[in-house]
Amino acid sequence: MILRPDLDDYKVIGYYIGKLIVGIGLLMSIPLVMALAYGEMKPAVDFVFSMSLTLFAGYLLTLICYTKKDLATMHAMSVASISWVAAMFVSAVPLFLSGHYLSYLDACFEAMSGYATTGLTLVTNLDHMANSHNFWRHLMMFVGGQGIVVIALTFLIKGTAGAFRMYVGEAREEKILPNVIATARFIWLVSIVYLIIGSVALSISGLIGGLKAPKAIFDAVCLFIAAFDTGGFTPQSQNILFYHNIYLEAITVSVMLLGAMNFALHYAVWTGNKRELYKNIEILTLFITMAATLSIVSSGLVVRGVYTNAVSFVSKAFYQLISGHTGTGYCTLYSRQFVNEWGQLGMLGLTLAMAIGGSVCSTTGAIKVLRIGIIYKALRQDVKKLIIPDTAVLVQKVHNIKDIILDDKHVRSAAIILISYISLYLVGTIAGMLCGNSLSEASFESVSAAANVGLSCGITSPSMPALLKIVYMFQMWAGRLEFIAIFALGGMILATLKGKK
Amino acid sequence: MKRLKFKILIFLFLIFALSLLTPNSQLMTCYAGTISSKNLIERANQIDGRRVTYEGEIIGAIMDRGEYSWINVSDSNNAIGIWCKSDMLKDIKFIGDYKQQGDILEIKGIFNRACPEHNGELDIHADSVKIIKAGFLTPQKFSKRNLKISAILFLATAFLMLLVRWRASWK
Repeated sequence: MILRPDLDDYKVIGYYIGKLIVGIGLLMSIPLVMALAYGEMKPAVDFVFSMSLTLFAGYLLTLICYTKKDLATMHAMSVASISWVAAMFVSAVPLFLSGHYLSYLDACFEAMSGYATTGLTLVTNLDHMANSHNFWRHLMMFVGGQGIVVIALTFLIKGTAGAFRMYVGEAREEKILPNVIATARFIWLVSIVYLIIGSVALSISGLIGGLKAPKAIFDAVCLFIAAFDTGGFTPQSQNILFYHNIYLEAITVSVMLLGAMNFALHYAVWTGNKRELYKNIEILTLFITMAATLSIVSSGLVVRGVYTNAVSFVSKAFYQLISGHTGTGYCTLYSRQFVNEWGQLGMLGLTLAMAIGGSVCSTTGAIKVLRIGIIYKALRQDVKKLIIPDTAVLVQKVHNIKDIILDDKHVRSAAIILISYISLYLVGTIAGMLCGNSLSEASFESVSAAANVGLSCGITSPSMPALLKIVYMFQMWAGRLEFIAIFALGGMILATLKGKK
Repeated sequence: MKRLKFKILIFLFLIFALSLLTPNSQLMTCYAGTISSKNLIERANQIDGRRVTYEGEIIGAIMDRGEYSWINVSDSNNAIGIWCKSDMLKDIKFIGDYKQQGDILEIKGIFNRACPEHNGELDIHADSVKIIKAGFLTPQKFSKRNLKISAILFLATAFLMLLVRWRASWK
């Protein structure tokens, strides 16, 4: 029997969402300060307006739903899923006021793309956007990459059992440290340390490439954020092509790979366990899937004779593959070059790489290499069982920070997420085809949205149908949260409609 | 002997004629009418290696690499990378960004679909760069109405914040 949630259940959800909205409002003070520093008066007013509106909404919700009750699993999952939508609505306000979006829906698309670290964009005239608005786009990626709930856990919410449930709801399962708050803070520590190192390296490469210091530094910070959080936004409309800089490309490849690694693996390496890099199932699977998808891409490009020398091949094919596989979406090609030059086989290889993604507990989206590794090991175990005597006992281990004995629970969990992602990829592909695109183009764009990648073959544009924008927004949201929180929200809605008192 | 010379002449003429028909030949190419970025990207295979004329606004920055520089020129649809001699850019005063509209340039040069010199980039190696329209500073205006609404909302938020604190102090 399903029980209908009572008023207290809604209040506890509303209270925590209110707190998260307050957090987003406070975050707007960063671009506001930047607008004042750069002398951008109109954007400054946009941010004062948006910040006031967001804080007002957040505090009002907190007051109306005030409670001291802790979060149960259902509440925590609902908070995790709704808070991303609420964050999207309030964060889209300054974007819409910037005048660079044709509609509020487009601004919401951009905000969801930012938070979900996708990188698909509907911005117009990006090259004339104010630095403060541009930084807001990247800041959303930083926040989304770490997780909105991780921020709240770090700064706003005291450690409770409900806090861990919310953390899990945001597609993060691993407690790197014994305490979830300490884990959230470690994630921030890793990100800030890499932010400083990465931004300095990118600034130097920008200066070598001929940029003046202020632009080199601003762009370096933005590029680092979007690379480490496997987002894909850039300050200029040409994406990485703008810089014409091989050093910058090489650094972004390293940062993208760091962003695709499990935070628990970062912790292991930081604490001296470097051997983990060679044993970890995620790293091994990542290399195998990269090699496999690179072979497909290479075959397609060689057959068509797209690139005539090795440096061009690495700068284009390898870069796009790393960008796609890590879920970043940085691009050294124009969108339509995928269709016009790469052809179907090249696009298929890249689509598969995007569909697989990076590690769990990282900033990437998609199915993730751990699940691919687990399903492969389970398949191998089943085949072995057919060969060995019936009386023999077969134990299959996987090594992810520690040795884990593979059982049906792990395989079931991996298979459910795998099937959910494939279904999500299909939904977007069908929607794309309904809007008149070919199968290869529709599947490429759909996987890019659902796997939170951000590479585009040209479908995503301000002129695409509103229905497709909404489908891609849903894909980005569901793909980032990895379904469980959304299934729980669906269950909550069902209980509200059909549950008994 | 005469016939042989005649045959050689015909043969050379044919080679010359064929070279004119070869798509990559730069002999046949010329600065025809202005081409858009959309056409450059969509028809890159056909235009590869030809001389083109391209117009647009210089955006972002001039990236000085010594004797040569990179600039990016946008025709509103896409921006294309232009590789040119640094001294061709000395008259540029406005580069497009939030605070200014960049100079509008006319670029004449060779288009490359996947430039072997620049890691496979789609670019134009400029023979000439001409400013055809000067850029300007963009006037900055902000909405006073939004500022007033913000002030009211800010006060209301401060009041709400106090109410939340007061509510939290209840036992």
